[in-house]
Amino acid sequence: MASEYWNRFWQRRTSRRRMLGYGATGTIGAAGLALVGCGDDDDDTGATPTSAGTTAPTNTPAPGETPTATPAETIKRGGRLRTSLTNDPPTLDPYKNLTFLAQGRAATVYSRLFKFRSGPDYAYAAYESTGDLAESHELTGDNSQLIVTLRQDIMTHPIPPVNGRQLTSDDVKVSWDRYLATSQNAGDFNFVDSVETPDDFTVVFKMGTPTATIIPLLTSPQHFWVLPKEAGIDFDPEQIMIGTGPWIFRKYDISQQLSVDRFPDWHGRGPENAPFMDGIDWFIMPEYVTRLLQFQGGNLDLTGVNANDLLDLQKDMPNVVVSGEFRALMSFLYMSGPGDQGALGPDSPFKDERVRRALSMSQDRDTITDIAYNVEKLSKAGFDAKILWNATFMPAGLGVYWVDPKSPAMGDAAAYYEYNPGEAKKLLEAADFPFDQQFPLRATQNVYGSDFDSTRDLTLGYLKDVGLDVVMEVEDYSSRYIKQTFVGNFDGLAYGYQTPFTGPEGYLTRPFTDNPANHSKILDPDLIAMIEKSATEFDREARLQIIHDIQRYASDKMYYVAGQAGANQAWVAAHPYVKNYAEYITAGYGPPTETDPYIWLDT
Amino acid sequence: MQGYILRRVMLAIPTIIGITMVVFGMMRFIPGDVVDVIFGDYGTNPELKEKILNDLGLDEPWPVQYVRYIGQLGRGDLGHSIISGRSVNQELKARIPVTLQMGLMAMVFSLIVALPIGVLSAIRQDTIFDYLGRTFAIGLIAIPNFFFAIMLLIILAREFNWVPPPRYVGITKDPVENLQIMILPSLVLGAALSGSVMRFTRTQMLEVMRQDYIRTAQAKGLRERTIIIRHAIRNSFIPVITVVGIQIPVILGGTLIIESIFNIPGVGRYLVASIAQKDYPVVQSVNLILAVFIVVLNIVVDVTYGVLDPRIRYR
Repeated sequence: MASEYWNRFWQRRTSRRRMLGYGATGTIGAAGLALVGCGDDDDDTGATPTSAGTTAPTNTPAPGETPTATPAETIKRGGRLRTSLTNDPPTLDPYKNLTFLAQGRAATVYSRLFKFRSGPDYAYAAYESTGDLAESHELTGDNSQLIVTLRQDIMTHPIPPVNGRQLTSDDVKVSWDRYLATSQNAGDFNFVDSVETPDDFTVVFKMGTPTATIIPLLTSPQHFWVLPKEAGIDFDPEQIMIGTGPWIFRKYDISQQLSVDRFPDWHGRGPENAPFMDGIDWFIMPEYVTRLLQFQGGNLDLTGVNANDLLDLQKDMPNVVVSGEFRALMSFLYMSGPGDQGALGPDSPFKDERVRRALSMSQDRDTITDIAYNVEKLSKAGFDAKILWNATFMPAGLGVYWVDPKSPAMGDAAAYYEYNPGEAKKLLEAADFPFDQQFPLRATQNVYGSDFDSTRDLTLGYLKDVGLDVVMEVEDYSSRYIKQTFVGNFDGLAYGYQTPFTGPEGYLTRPFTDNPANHSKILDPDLIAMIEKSATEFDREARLQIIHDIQRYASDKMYYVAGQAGANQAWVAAHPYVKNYAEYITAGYGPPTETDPYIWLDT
Repeated sequence: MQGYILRRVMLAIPTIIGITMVVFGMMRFIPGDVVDVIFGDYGTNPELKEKILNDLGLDEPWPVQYVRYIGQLGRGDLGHSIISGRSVNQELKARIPVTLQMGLMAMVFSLIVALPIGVLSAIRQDTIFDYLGRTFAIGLIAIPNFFFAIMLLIILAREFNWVPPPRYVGITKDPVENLQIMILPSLVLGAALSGSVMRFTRTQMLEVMRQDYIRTAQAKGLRERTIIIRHAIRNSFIPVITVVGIQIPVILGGTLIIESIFNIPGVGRYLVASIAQKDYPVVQSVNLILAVFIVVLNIVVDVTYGVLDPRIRYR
């Protein structure tokens, strides 16, 4: 039985990419950082057409038109998927809170103008935009306006007060205004001067500065969800969800269960009439062990599994399908001189790039990752476990945007990622590093999970190995770390996670531009110029190239030392009757729209 | 008796006011604030942060916030969660019966186990029954309840492919499913209590069994069963009631962990999540409710003590 399973496992692996970071539907999460954007190094797709790069109207295929992994006639319809959420959503209004608990639930009921492509032909972290509410879109010749034409078959859910009416541009405009007024990340759209709706099915975004990120941002499931115009007036979106998405909100029993039912008139249903299941039930289970045992007891259809539990699970339940995708989670070691002057300040011991390179070369990334995430044992047991290295400053899980530090694509800077303590010591000595000075390593504890804590401790150990006098200084997350250290007001060294973003923009602007959270106060004019260029480059391939150049440049300077916490696969176990999720899973918070409609249960 | 109860109630009022002050102050002494929690590492917008603090009234001086809080309490309004905006009254209305049921079942379990073994251990002192009973009691006290809970679930899931249903169902809606969900957490919660009650029962029984009136009963030729049931147990149980009353806060404390492990939507789980999120109104209100409950319970225990023991007179 077991050998059959593993044969199937490997066949699936070699045939195409596999699943799954199902955290976006609530099964995976770690201390509020459960966004699991995931890279996929064995993706077989080479197609990366861009919707952002077009200047003529682009027809965006309906979701249902993407091929399914299973022939339509074999799909069994009905049944309800039973899965879990790690906690209560603080609110059901996606504008009011940015946690995955709120944003991920929005994806069940609401729609965006664009969404990520999903299906057997699209990689997990390809981040390709396609229309959701948008039928087509066009950029004006000077790229100053994005004109979005809405589909005309979008119906709201058949619930008062909207009662299944047609969605129009008015809903988009009202939502936009409410989004700007209430959302904490609306500032990401500062380049949009105004939004106009010349007719019922046209929305025009007028940009003060033409910015190529407008479509990625409108695609991002962390940003603009379109709610009916009645939201906040005729119904309270903090209490109930009424939208146009694939699932109709059924009930939310606090600390118990959130349930949605299939919306038969979903605009994305396609010829196969998705969603295939009758609904989804998320049971709210804060404890990991409870989720795992409920899965083992047959009360959940799928669940996230820690790397250290996979071998036991494999032994107990050999038929369970287990696989994982890389998380888009960026940990990093950062520095600052005395008086909060940043890494490059005049008195900073880290201003010499040889020092920063040495710090990077002091780290044995493979060993750190193996210890934290059990990679070697899992590989030996037949799991598709791999080690990828985060780059400066892009997480390995960000797929197409990431440059592999182990690959030739990283250029000369690849040498600074290799574990080479001897060379690291030489560099430090050559730079007259003050070995007699003691530095704090500032970090949190028990906030991000045990894997973060262990990688942090190992990082500290490797720094000591090359002669640095470093002492751990544990900081309270909310009163000290996030208020002071994270925003660059510290001296010495610090180690932490970057906010998880579903696109590359945040990973570029946060650490390298005049941003309040520029952690090491790195303001390199050449780098800023490259970042600005990437923001105004509308050709996707050219923009990708610039983003890769930025990583090579930043890695050469080693402005931040990429850490390995978060550079791991998020493992998910599913009972074998759960079909199609592997083929449709996408990164970020969007799977309830992009993945779940195509899941079916072979029961 | 009535005068005594009135005096106790009057004395409880300053106690409860003191508790509100302590809890109110402690929540504000903890580093960081709720807005930091809401923002997390997205927190780069000081203006919006100020606005949220203002909207929540958290930018006012503490005494002003406290007076407003007491005013709300006076109207029976426990406030709204800062994180979710939901009414604390409504939340507690749904959660208190769940926790009470679990606490009650835990109490029943513990007494069913503890009393017979405690009595048997005493009347068969220094026999194999006594040694086994005492070992069992120490074992129950020594095992941490979270460990016991997880082991129980693992054994059931792995060996019997059974775990409690994932969703709580009220006892009036489906008693069978309710018991399936509640029986394990109640058992775990009751275990530690039963250990201590068992040991205390044994000690009390031993003391009573050495009293003159027991010796008199034995001299009169009464059967052992009659002596134990009619004379010894009633007198030995009076102090046990006090111990059980004192243990109720321990049970309530246990719900914080056990409700999370068994996924029970009770007050304990609510409190844990609220503390982590620095959700002031919820933490204050839940603590207040728990404090009032414990104060009232203590009064009830003291009164019951007098009812059971005619030698006690309240003045």
